[in-house]
Amino acid sequence: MKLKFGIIGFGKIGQLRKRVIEELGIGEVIALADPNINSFDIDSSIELFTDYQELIKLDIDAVIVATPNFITSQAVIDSLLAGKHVFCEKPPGRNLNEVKEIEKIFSKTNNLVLKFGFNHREHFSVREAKKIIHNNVLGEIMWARGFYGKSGGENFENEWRSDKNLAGGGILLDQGIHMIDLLNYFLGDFDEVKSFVTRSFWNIGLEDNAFAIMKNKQNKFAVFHSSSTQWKHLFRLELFFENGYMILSGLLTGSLSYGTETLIIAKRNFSDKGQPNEEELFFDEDKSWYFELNDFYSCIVNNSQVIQGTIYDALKAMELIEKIYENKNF
Amino acid sequence: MKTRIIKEKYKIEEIRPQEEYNKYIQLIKDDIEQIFNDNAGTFIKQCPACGSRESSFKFSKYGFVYRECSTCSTIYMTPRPTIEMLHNFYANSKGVKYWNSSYVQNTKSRIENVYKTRARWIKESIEFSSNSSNSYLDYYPKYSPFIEEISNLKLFNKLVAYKPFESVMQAISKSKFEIRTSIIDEKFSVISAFEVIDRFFDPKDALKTIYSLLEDNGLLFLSTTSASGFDIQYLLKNAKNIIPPINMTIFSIEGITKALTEIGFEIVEMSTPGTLDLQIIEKQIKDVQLPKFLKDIITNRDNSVKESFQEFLQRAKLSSYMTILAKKRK
Ligand SMILES: [Zn+2]
Repeated sequence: MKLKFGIIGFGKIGQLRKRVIEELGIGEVIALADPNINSFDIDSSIELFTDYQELIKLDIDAVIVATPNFITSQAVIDSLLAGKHVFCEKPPGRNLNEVKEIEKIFSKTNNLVLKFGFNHREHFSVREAKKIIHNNVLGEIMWARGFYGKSGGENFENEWRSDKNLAGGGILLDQGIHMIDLLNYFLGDFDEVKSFVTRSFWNIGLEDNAFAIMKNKQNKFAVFHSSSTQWKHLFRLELFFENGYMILSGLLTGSLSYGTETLIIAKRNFSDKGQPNEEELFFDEDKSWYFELNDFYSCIVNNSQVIQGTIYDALKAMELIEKIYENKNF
Repeated sequence: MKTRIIKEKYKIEEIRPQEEYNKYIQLIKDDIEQIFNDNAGTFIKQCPACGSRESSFKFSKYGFVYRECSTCSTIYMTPRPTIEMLHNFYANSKGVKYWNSSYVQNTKSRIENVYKTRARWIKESIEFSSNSSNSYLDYYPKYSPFIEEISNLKLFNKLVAYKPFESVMQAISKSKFEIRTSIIDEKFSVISAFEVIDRFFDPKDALKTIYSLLEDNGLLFLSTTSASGFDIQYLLKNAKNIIPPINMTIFSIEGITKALTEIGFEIVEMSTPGTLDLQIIEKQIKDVQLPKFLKDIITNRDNSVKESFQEFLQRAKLSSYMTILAKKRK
């Protein structure tokens, strides 16, 4: 069964989603909405709009929301109210309240699928680490450290992401949210947060660094750092268990600038003088975009529950981010 | 696809003790004289991996000739013993019986570095689909410590030993393994074929049999010697792990990839996690003609350089011990 898709927001990610829908053969993109839509060279069979309100009036099954943050939650709400299944890119809104509004509307819908794009969960290193935990190779998790950072770049200060009104948050909301979601995914339900949120370098009205230490109800701890002054792109998530550890380092992205995606696995062994034999896995492809949209599709056609990237995952991530922001000092 | 790199440190003598190995080879040479009696078997005209008809003479050993496929670089014996001759050989070989015996196999180092590592690989990598029977089949098991390691994992609802060697009968009798010599209407979630696929008259036929025994999405764990491996490429007939008539097909990375994907497998992992290539070449440096560049690394550089070189071999899939995890595509 092929679905009819509309895409709201036709920037880099919107274009990628279109390609993935077509490659997977799960449906057809029949309409696009973007304020700059007339500047794109697009197949003439696709309906084009500058206003997404026109797009959601069409007879389409599902909508992809890939807009700048200030439009996101309203576009999701309007699409749900128009009876469309929605796939929404991260972040799910500019703040927790916006996501709560989505939840309020979504809870009143029937049989609609709402999924959020926490695609890092579908990276091979993350899937593999989850599987190893599931197969109980290393015992109970105790603590984690997650670092995610980028270098900003020459035009960074002029991007919409650096505009407080359009983005709602800085690096924490933009990129840090993926690491926050992964920490939730591996440890979950943090209830205590100590943090520093600061602007160290970039001349923008938003944070360029966020540091946090978090504890959950099961007394498991996480250290978190999100940065746009990380001059060498970095993704690193360290997971420590009773019987060993796993380190996810590097991430296969479109730009290939986060390094080879690797997963290091080691077992605790007190006779190794603190130098355990590490096993390293590396991955040569990123199928996260395919896994995500395939899952979205199968939830729609099988009328089944979303498992990864639910509204609750979105709320949990935004709650944690809101707690970290409480200590903003600029 | 993923690739595994392991950094365990042990010496070749620990898993292949000199004295026992020499005795093994002497027994195999006696076997050849008594069992084959100058009859080398039948010629094969096509590469057993990729089907190409182009090949060139590579080397001969103990009276058996090996050719190299001009297309995929798989090294294969031709003429090779027929199925009946092989049957006769395995039923009567004193060499095989000696090498498979617990006297040789049940050593601490082999258990730690060979069998526990294999069992751990399976434990880390298995993933059962929702309708899976969680069953396991070991294809032609021959080493008793591995039977014990798999039994200890307690991962499977059913354990089957398909055509086991005499050497594992005692271990099987003490385990939950069931023995099968033929299989009708039975499918398995996981099949392992360690050090066995190179020993068939028609290895691709054996892979097809394995494919037919797997459930949809079932997993094959396979290990074999790689013709792309560093020590094999330089040692050729002096390679101690190429023992005719046992090792008849030395697959290259490209050859085994083609064979598996043609049958319908998806390769999930392709690794050469060997740690011994450089050590082996160093020990047999008189047997090989090395380019000066490689000789320099081996004779004039320190251990840390050699360790990085060995790690590079693994990263480039150029170590001679190859492990593959393949999934039966639906
Ligand atoms: Zn070939």
